[in-house]
Amino acid sequence: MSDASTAASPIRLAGALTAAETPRVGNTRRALRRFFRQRLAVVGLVITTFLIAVALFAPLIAPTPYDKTILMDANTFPNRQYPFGTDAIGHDELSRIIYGLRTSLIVGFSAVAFACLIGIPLGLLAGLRGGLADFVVLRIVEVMTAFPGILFAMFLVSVVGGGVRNIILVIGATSWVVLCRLTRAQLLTLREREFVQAVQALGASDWRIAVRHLLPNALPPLIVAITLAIPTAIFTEAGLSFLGLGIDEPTPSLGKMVADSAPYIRLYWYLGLFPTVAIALAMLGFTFLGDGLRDALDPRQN
Amino acid sequence: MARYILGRIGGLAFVLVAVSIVTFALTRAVPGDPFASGERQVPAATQAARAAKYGFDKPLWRQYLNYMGSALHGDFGVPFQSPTRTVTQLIADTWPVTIKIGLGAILIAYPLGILLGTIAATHRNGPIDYAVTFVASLGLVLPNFVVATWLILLFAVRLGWFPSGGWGTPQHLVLPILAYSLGPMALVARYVRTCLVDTLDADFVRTARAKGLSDRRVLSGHVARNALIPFITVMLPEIPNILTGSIFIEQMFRIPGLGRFFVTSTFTRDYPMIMALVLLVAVVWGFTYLLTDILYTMLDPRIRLR
Repeated sequence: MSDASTAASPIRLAGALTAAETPRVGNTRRALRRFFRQRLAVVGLVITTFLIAVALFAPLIAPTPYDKTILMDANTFPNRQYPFGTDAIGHDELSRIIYGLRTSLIVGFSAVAFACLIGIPLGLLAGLRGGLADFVVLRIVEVMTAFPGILFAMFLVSVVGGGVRNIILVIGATSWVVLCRLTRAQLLTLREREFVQAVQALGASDWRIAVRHLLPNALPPLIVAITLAIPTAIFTEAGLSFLGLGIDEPTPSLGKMVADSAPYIRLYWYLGLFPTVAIALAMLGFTFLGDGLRDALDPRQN
Repeated sequence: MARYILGRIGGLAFVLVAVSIVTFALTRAVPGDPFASGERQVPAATQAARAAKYGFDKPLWRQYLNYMGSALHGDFGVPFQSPTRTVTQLIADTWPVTIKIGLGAILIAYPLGILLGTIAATHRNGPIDYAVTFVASLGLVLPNFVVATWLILLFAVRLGWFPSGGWGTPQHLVLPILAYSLGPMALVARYVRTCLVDTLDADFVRTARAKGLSDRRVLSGHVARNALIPFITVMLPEIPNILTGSIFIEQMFRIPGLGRFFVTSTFTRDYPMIMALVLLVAVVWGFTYLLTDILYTMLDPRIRLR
């Protein structure tokens, strides 16, 4: 930010200067600068960093283990000892939320990673080979899109059962389509560019072109899509847990906490409020971050 | 054009067949017996008779072909959860309820979202823009069961203005529609803002301004039409989602709509109901996409359909 203050309008000026003085502003640095100029994006970055840190160090931060119950203190309203209160069987809500956040983030990150593992190779295959491969992948994508999202996830859960691992697999298996489409679309436009023809003329193999030359160029929009897929996965987990198809007891998850609070919320409002705020915070953080990345990485801004 | 539409309908048929095969296979892969009665031991002969009645004694491919054969004649079978009705009757009874909520949500979400998005785009990067973006993000990030919970708490429990659930009077519509429209409204507002901002930067807009057109004329005459194209491609496919209902909203407000069956059929292994629901959603989805593509060409003559 310190260099930005020397130039009144960093982007335009940087562009104008490059010709005259060539101050060597790299693409990455330019993107970073654009990112940090957006207030909401920085807010998103701060929120997500904070949440990830909390989730990582959950055992150190949480006052009690997530499954510890103190029946004597059940249904305590928020006070100094229990800042977020306790639930009907004496769980400390603060600890449950910290561990619930951990579950939600683990599910979010892993499910999206799994979706990448399916979607990106399929998209590469379709975009690179075209023809029959493209046709088959497109048909699979079409069929997947026609399935009512959450219903399909519910089905799969009822086939394979609940639990963290299965939820990750199910959400991953139902959310790869976006990434596949995007990778394919990116490849279709990149494939025709001159630098690809140049590498082709040099005799590079298809897969080398795809992995070394096409994928890195397709990365910016993919990073955005991945960042925005994380809140969606967290959202789906919350929904499944709400329907009783998600994470098994005693592991807490934010969605489950909101669902479980419903019968008590008329009196014990804090049981619903704090997990809700936690979900909203996680979703907002990742959404702002993704939007900020989109604006920072958008090539049209150059 | 006619050829294109025919081809697309053919593609849709393929998708439907694929969806039905996958669903059929999945329902049969689900562990659990739809007739597991729990306490009562059912004699082996009864079980065999039941299996024969529903065709479970035949090989899977035969069961599938039989099902599709009757489905093409409009017979989707008898739901296990209420054997006195047919699947068709049950859906005919409950879908209108869901559609009512969905239409209400669309009528609130789309106009309001477009209005908010336009305001945000024309006040770009100002405090109004930030406020709209924040509200829109909130609408996107709060699961609608959370919104429903807090609406019930505030308007039904504390203030007592509206019933907390049930069905029958117009009052019963208010809270579910409100809870259901927040998400789509946020989506529309955000998307309208993006489309408008992109279009407002275009050269032809600068030209229109240079000609001396007022801001309103530029917005309604030049920007709106061009921003409409990306808007339609993204927002029209949202409509089937809204019309087929939200499991969560119907659960929270105890609404006798279609969404409820999504849950109960999965839990009770109600094969005929599951099949019918999935196919219904797939058909609605397919025709919406087709409609989207056709509208697309009508709005932008540069786009040619093959």
